[in-house]
Amino acid sequence: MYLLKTDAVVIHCADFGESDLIVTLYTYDLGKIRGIAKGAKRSKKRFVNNLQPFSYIRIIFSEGRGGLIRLDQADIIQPFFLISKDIFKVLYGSYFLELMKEMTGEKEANPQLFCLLVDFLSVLNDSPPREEYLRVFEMRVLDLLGYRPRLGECTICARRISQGEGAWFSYRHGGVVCKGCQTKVRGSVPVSGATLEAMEKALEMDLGEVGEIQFFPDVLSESREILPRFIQYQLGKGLKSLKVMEEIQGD
Amino acid sequence: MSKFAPTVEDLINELSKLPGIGKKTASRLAFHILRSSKEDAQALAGSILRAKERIGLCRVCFNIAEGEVCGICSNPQRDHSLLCVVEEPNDLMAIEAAGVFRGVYHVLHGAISPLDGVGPRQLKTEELLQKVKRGGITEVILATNPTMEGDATALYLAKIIRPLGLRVSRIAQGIPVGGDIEYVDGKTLSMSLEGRREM
Ligand SMILES: [Zn+2]
Ligand SMILES: [Zn+2]
Repeated sequence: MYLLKTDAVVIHCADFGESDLIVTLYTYDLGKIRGIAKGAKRSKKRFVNNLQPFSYIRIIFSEGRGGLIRLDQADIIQPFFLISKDIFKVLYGSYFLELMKEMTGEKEANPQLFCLLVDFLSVLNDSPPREEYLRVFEMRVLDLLGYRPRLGECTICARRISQGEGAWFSYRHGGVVCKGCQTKVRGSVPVSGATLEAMEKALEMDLGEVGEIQFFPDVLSESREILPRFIQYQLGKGLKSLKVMEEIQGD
Repeated sequence: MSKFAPTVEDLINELSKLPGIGKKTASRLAFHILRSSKEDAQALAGSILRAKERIGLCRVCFNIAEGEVCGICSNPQRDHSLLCVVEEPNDLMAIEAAGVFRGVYHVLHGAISPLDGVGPRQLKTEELLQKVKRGGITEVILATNPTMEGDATALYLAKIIRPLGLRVSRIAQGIPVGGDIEYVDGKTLSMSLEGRREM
């Protein structure tokens, strides 16, 4: 039995029978994988508590049956445990994890995406929770997975949208449409020039500055309207952590 | 083509719906039942039905109870000003088995789990808030599990209960008795250091 090694972030962890755990991981070398950690609920030595969501770990594993890997060992690289000391950090971090879970296929490696996830978990761990992180993360994930929304020109007639000029966002066209074309597109929503600029900037900014990022309130509410909906449109289904986030933010 | 008579197949199917019971164990159990006396089989069927008919949730704490109110909630000897919040009835039973807590409980029936779509509204949180608002409680002890879900639940409950002016605490997390510091994870070590006591 071949033992392999890679770095991983724990996305989900659930009981599997009396003594095992079933985990979903996002890994550097294999992308998303699911695996069984035999005896993990009892063994104090091999896994400790390193399989909790958000943990950044190094795993030793072997290929198992039915596409599931067999986890042999998990050593912590960074537990990011400050995330679980703030309810909004938990909610935002869960959203990052759910995007990885839902937007990537099993065993589709994307090391850049892996590094992006680790970077954002670090920001969330070390800085106060800001909703802006979610928007920057969404833009970057969309970009890395080939769904980058077209914001600079109309997706129908290719007319340039000049800086500061508003437009309409069409989920179906995966980007903006100009004033002239907008009347032909059902379900498009108006988007201000400031929001388009913030979305562009989210792709270009240095990730070292994400911890201090702050959108204007109307940019924040417009982008909150557009990006999660665009992602869910692409996925063809709703995101569970968003629903829980909205529920708790309302309380 | 099934191997057994349809009635036997049916029994195996029903048994394999139980948690932790696979097809193999289910057929072992089924043949045990078939070999046992008619009285034994009736007793088993009867106790399942009786439990289903008589056992419900206590309307005060949502623990599993026979009757409207459970034995803990109806006991005047218990300290009704001390409320311990747990995720599941199993957790309550574990604390009771230790015999060290004299207050009363509130069972949430789950924990906040964003990736599973479980938010506060799917738990008995509104009932907890109403109970706390009615008065008579001086301290709420959050005894949720030391998992991401348990942490999220405790953080959420503290956020909604604290403004009411009550004392809200969470049970300590640390190195288990018989454990070995060498094998304790960073989070637990940090919690143990934070929760250290003067000697
Ligand atoms: Zn156009
Ligand atoms: Zn009760």
